[in-house]
Amino acid sequence: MELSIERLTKQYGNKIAVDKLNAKFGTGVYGLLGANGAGKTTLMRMLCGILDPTSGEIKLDGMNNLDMGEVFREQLGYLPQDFGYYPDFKAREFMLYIGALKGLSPVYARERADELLEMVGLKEVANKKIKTFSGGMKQRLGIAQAVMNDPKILVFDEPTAGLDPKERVRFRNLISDFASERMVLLSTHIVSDVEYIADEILVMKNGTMIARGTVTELVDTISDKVWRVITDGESADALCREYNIINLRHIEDKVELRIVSDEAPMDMAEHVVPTLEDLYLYEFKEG
Amino acid sequence: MGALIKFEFVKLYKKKINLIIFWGTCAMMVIFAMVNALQTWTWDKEGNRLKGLDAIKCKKEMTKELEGPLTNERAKELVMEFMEVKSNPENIIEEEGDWHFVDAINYSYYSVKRDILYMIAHNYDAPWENTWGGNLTDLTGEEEPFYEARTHRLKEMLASGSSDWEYSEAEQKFWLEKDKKTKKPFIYGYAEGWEQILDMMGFFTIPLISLFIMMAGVYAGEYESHADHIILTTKYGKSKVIAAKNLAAFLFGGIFVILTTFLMYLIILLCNGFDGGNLVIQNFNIDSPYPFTYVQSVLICTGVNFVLAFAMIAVTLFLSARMKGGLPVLAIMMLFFFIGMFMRQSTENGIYNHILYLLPYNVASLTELGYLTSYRFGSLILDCINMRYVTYILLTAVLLPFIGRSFKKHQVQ
Repeated sequence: MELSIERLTKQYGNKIAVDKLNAKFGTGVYGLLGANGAGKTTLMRMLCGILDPTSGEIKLDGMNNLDMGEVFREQLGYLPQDFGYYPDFKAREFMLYIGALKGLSPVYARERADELLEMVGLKEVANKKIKTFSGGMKQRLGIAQAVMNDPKILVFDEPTAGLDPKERVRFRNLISDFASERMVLLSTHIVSDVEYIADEILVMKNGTMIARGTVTELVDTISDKVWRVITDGESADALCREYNIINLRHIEDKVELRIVSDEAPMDMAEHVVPTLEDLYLYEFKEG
Repeated sequence: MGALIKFEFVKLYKKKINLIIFWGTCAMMVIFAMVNALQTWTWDKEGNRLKGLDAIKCKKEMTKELEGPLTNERAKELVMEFMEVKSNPENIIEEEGDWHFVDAINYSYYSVKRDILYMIAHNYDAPWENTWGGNLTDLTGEEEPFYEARTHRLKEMLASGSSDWEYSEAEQKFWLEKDKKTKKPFIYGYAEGWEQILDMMGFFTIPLISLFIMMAGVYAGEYESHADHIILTTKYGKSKVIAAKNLAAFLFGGIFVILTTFLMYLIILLCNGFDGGNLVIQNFNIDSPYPFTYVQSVLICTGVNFVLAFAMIAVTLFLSARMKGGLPVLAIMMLFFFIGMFMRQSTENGIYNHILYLLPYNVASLTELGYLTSYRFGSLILDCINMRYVTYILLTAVLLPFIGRSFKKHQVQ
């Protein structure tokens, strides 16, 4: 299975949200990293066929996703950024509705709904109205609905927005469980969401793909750009004004700074091992 | 598909605002019907003022006394009787050139027979005029017989035309043929329940407005809640779900209008009695050229309302799929529906008036059973009731294929 994006462009008036993007995806987890407004959501929506591109196309095994219609959609699971639900529906009822939309037989839909609700930890509240759920519970229900049809392509758009750290970890683990033998595309601006589970990371900026690779490959690109400096308060202030500071920590009367920069910020600066967050902040320093 | 229809139906029904409107409208229709019955009043033969169910009972008894075929002879007898009663100076009081019956005669005779006397007298009104019994005292009993006078008057109206409409020869023939089919002699009798239903047909505007509110969100609600993001990415999100949504909306709307309408009818009939359903509609309006009984008239007018309701559902769904929110849909529907209320009938422009009679508000509020409103298309002549059926069935049929298209092509933002 191969999903290819060919010169994909989406333009709103004078604003280009996605600009002649090219990419290929196979099975595995792909983390789409980018600041707000980078074009991630627009790309995800075009991938799912709910937003038409201005030009270019998306192909699954050589066939245009829009032309494939139902055949494409039955292989798709999508958790959008704004998860629209029906407040007066019970969780199980909502899952059965999604099952009907995905063309599952009622008997299979019931089995699958129960199985998934248990998997996402909502079995106990399966017969409670969704409006009584917390943000995390709704998001877990969102994951469950996305995988209801056992899709080959899973698209998660900013799935951890609004979740507390514990829920975020739980969410990551759930995605890992669902990811095997599937193509999972996960967009986020939270580095830790994809750092541990993505096989490959794609970094988007201003509608284009500026970097792609495994976490190791990507952080290698800035291996000589992350610095550690221990200095006094006055110098630290000057460095903060001039450089992209990743972290700042006070140690007694000194200040420890983690800086991402093409050149050494000062003579006594020493290289440190970069992380994905360093890369993110290096790429999105203006934002 | 069945499961999808079920879920779409449940979505409509479970929405809190829809639930409130659904049962609130049912309650309103029941209350209006009951209030109408409770406000009925009459004088009995002894001059006691009766209200509510007692008044209905009294009216029923008094009308039952007059029950029977209204033949030419009987009509003449009733006119002669009126003249005789009126000619007795002991029965009337004259004041400043005007007169009225003394109380005893008023209650024991005139109140009882007023309706049938007005009905007879209207037959002798000038064409297109209604003196509401004002010409009773001009009658001598020597006039043209009742049914001949009625046909004569109808012919005169058709030949002269109204101020805004000239009837073609084909139209004149059409109406005369229709009138010929009315069962004569008319059987006079008590049919207050059915008359009340026909009088209260205009209350159908209430369930219609409720329908607009409930249906406005069928598609637009998905956009507002962002549920469209998920629906449109599912296998049937751009195909079967559209048919399911439409079917569920029509099913839900159908159940709603049937329930609200028949609840109102039931209360009215329970209060006023089921009697008189098989009597001719001319008891209700002597001018009516339609050969229907009360039951037939009620069913036909209810049918018009239901067809209108389905067309309004279709228009609402059509707009709902195109607009981003339910509120603008509701605003446009209200404007579309009520525009007829603000358009005044012309005294001269018949084409304008004929269009006016087909606007939703006028369809819901006026039965047109008593009017000679016809539409001519070459050799084809349609009466207003059939024209309303045709208009709204056509509107629904034309809109149906387009309802879901916008949803299918909807671009999430």
